[in-house]
Amino acid sequence: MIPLDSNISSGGEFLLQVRHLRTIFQTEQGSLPAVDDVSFNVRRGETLGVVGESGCGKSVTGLSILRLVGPPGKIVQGEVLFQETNLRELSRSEMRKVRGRQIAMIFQEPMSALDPLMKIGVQMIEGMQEHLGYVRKSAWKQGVELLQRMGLPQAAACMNAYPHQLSGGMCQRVLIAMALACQPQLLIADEPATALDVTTQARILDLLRELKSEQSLTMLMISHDFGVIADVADWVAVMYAGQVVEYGPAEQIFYRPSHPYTQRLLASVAGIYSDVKQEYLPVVEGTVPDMGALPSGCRFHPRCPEAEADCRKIHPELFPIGKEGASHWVRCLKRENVRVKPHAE
Amino acid sequence: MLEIKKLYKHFVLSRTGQRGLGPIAENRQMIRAVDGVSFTIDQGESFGLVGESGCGKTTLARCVLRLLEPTAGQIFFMGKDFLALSGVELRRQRKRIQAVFQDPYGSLNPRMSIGKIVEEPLVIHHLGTHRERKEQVGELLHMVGLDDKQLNRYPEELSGGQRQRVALARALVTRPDLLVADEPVSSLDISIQAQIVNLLQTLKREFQLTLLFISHGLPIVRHLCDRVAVMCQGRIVELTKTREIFENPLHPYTRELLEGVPEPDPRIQRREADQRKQRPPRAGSQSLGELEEVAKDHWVAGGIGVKA
Ligand SMILES: Nc1ncnc2c1ncn2[C@@H]1O[C@H](COP(=O)(O)OP(=O)(O)OP(=O)(O)O)[C@@H](O)[C@H]1O
Ligand SMILES: Nc1ncnc2c1ncn2[C@@H]1O[C@H](COP(=O)(O)OP(=O)(O)OP(=O)(O)O)[C@@H](O)[C@H]1O
Ligand SMILES: [Mg+2]
Ligand SMILES: [Mg+2]
Repeated sequence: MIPLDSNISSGGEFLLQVRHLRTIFQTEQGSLPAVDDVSFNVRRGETLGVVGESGCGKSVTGLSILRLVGPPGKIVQGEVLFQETNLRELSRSEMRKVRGRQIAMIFQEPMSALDPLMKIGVQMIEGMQEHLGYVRKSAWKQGVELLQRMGLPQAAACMNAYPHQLSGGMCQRVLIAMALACQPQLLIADEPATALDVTTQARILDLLRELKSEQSLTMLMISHDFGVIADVADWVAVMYAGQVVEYGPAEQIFYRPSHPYTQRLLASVAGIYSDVKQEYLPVVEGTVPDMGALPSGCRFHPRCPEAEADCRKIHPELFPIGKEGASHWVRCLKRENVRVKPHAE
Repeated sequence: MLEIKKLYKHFVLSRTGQRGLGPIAENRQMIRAVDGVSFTIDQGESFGLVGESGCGKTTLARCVLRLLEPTAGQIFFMGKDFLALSGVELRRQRKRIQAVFQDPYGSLNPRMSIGKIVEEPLVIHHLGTHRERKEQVGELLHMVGLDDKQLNRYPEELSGGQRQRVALARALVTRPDLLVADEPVSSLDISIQAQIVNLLQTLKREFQLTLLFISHGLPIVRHLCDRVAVMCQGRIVELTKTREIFENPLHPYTRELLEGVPEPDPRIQRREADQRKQRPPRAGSQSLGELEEVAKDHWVAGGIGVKA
């Protein structure tokens, strides 16, 4: 595969570069490639939105970057370059310093991500004490302030509460606050707004945007919510069955999607967001293949209305399309006609 | 079918850190999670419950399921006083009410395979033969978009959205009359959300499934629900037909809630974000008085919408 950065022209340093990442789960049914040859770049201060069907490997990608995939999972191939350092080569203690301090993650399923037996406040200040060397009192104060910024009423009381005493959305905001507590450079946010009402959501998105412009916060935003992605993402990667199938500037993906899967996904989005009440909504027909039984050729071909004989046999690579330098990439044989031709040398 | 009358649920938190100061009563903090809520849901109706995070939706749902004892109030299910039921009768009625919780991971037994988890309610209530049960489980997993191969997996081997669908399949396997669903689609991708909405529509049509649907996903509520109640600080501030809520919201809180739905369109969102910056912060207090019927079937709290 051509390295993704080869023709991204506009300037700016890459904070995160993921190259050919492959993470497998060793199970009784054999090894499942949950993340299979995933590559992308995120420039400092920019946000990459990651979308795709449930089970396609978004969370595992995020966890792999931080090396948080536990057995039976294993990263078997690829590089994760963070400021030119390959995170895969760091020692455990070096990695621990990166986690939370330089790269923070907001986990999916907020209520399970918190320790049920520990007070919210105690969990919040842990990171600040370890990474920033705060004493308990100032860390606590900082914690209260952060929760206030998240729009939590009675933030001080929340610090003294246990997770089960908070609502789903409150737990989620606690997790966001915890992730931001040490002012990380990169934030991996896995479905950070699912349990929030739109007003609170807007408030959080505004805060993230503020951090982005003021402190050059870089983000990997994993979300099913196309409204959220439209709001914050500069770039979008669409994943399907463990792979990136389309990648490009947000506007390209939203207004000129190229991959048949992205096109159908967006049609389904339009159905849900339409003002006309429909009894049945448009869906992408068929189901996501189980990772243990991937189809031959293109992984989307059994559900693809455009599929032809070749699609069943040949597994397409990710290649650039459109105008040269447009930085729009797609993994589909049927788009060969718009492929940017490699320079003849 | 389900009638809720003046339901209250208050939590008492002891304020640690100030222990020993003042009389006990002052030392405790009361959270009025549900504060006098009444509504009815008809058979075969989809009833949406929306509102700010922390306004008491989950607490209300847990009271309806009798997982929490309400502080005060009554709940009638199929004409019977649900809170007074016990023993065999309670178990019989409970079978007819199923739930999907907000936190799918926390509600699935990590030591059971997916197949067993979905089958369990059938076993508990002695429904069907072994063969029939297996068939039903397979069918439901298929309906929520999961693969047969996932039958032998364990919850931790699944993605967030896959787990949520397992919880949904488990809730639907006994063909309940009432489904209480707390954010059942929030961590699902759009296409599967649409698929689940379609599934629920079918169940509603074919089996008269009644639905109490709690969600922040307003676009989904709009398609799925017949009536919607908007909750704010433990109370219902507006209750009417879905169409009315979306096209003619009367309570300022409802308006605010609806305005903020992000559009799947980067250009619109960018404009929105700029406008949000200029807008003054919203008024903190809301009028939370009694509900009044201001138009046919349109209930609003605190005398709002009664135009002179
Ligand atoms: N511990 C595990 N053992 C085996 N398979 C696993 C394990 N964890 C995840 N998987 C599989 O890896 C695939 C990718 O999972 P991942 O959690 O990344 O999905 P996702 O894209 O985040 O989905 P969702 O949107 O539902 O959260 C899934 O098919 C899942 O079944
Ligand atoms: N066990 C408990 N002890 C004390 N307070 C609680 C308990 N459970 C809930 N609360 C409080 O009750 C209020 C309502 O919580 P609830 O979970 O019902 O909100 P919700 O509407 O479901 O919010 P979300 O949309 O964020 O899930 C919150 O202020 C919460 O802190
Ligand atoms: Mg996930
Ligand atoms: Mg809740």
